[in-house]
Amino acid sequence: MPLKKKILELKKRKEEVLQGGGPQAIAKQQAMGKMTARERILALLDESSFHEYDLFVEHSAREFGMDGKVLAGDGVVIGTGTIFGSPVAIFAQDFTVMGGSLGLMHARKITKIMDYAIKMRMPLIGINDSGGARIQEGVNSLAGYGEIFYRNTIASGVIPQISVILGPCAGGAVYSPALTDFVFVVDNISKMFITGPEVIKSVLGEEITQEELGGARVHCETTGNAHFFAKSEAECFEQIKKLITYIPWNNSKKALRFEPKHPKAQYKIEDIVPDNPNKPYDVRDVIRAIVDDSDFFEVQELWAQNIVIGFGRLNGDTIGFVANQPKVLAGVLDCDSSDKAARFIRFCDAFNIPIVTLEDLPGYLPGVDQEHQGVIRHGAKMLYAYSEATVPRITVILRKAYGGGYIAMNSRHMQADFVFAWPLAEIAVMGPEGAANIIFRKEIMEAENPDEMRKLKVEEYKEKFANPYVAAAKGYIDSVIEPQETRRFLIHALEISLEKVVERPARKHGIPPF
Amino acid sequence: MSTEEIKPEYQRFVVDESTYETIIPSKIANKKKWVRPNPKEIVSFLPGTILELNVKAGDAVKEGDKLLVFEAMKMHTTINAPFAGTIKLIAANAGDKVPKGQLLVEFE
Repeated sequence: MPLKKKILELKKRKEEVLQGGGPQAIAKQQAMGKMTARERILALLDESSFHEYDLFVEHSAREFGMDGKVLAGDGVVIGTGTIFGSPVAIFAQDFTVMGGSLGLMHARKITKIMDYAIKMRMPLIGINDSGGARIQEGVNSLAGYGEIFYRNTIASGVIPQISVILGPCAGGAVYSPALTDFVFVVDNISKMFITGPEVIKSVLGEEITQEELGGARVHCETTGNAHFFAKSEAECFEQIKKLITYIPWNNSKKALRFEPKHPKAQYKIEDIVPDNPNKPYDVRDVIRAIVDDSDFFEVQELWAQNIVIGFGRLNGDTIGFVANQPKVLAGVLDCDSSDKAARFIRFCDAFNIPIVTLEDLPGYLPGVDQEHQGVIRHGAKMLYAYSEATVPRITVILRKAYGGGYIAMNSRHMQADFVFAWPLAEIAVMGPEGAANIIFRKEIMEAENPDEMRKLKVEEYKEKFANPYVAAAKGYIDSVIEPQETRRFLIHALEISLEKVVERPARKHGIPPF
Repeated sequence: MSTEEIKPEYQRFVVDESTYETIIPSKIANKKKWVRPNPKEIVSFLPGTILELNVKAGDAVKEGDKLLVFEAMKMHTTINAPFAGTIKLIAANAGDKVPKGQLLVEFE
């Protein structure tokens, strides 16, 4: 039977390729605490949903002794599958095959699956584990990177793009993850940098390890390049799966709706925020007191902690939360927190996820370093991102809303759809102490007891302006609400915003302050 | 406010004359204070190596005179006198590897 024979041949060919770099290379990979490329895909996708393509692709290099070499699948696995039933396109670099190095055909496989993902409008997941460019392939390898970057950019805002760094990702290779929406890293496994420790040592004489230079913790805490930190690959895959439940397949869809659930009774919204505006609390508890099942999925938890971003659900629908964090740096805005919030707002807007802003901040972080780092340019990103967003935008002023920070945090003046304020809210041009010192400078200076007079005047200012009613009197706030009413008001506001239409002048694209 | 006890995990932090209790991350707490640069001090702009020293203490130089040749990022860069003056101090030797921001030459 010729067909049977042919099927046997197919099976044999498949088996050979599925060996990857062979048992020795696989053992080495495992010794580093890493899974193989196909193990990773199988761990991430729904059971038996993975379908692989381009299994038999061979490399095309002829120079430097590459001619006779066989590289299984050219060092990368591509295919499609599902996560909780939602379609995803995926590629995973196979470090066991020539260090997962990127040559021409390796890159062609990646761009092929990217093209599928863009055409079929489904999320793309890229698992990066590669020594970098395949030097033997010269400029063809560089060409490959460029083709990937181009597609990352074209796909941006059309399909969600997720990068998973499970090994080295150095040199030009890091720019593909940087162009995607979410970067997942694992402690002791992920390494990302443009120039590695050797180059830094030879050129600059600085000694640093790979982990210290571009390990998972560095990118989660210091650079902000990564969004999710995990201790193991298994934990990382659970995080990716959870993210997939919150985001839509593409920019013309909404995120899947879940069964609505009440927040857990342990989060008592009226007990979280202290009356004294100078006292800290964890704003994530306020979010947990509002969202379904008190389940808040935080993004970039370890970086720029003075602002909190992440996903939760209200009445079953995905919501993006942006909240000042009074527990860290009093919740001020600065370069990093503005960058963090602005990018998240743009993701939510691109993918039809309404944004709820919880506001409690004293203003911007003062300092020479902030000014010299360009806090003007960075802070402007937030104004841009909010103003540009056409998804429903709702703000709840929990407590302080001072000065420029008040404007930046999705104020009515930047076309927020709804602005609610709690009775504790203070909407003012600055904190009472600073304001009193300026307005009543003369009285304070000329008083017999300036300190007493200052206290008196601060109280006077607080009495007059540290409340939500001055802003409410101008219509800048739609409703002053009790904390317990927050969830109800938000759900109603979102329900009536379902068909929100915003007309804008035509343009090719805006020019955000990068 | 300032005399009141606060929880050990929190510190005091001032914004616009109001004092807040909050966590101050080490990045902010340990940041270097800004100091006005002294125009009479020539400092290394990158980590690198001094290849040549062309002046010594006490020399009078004109604006644009060659002070030293510095190698950083494989580039040989000539550092010229930014203005006319007298050299007060040479703080490095030819062949020295220096970090960024180190004093090399000081004018009187």
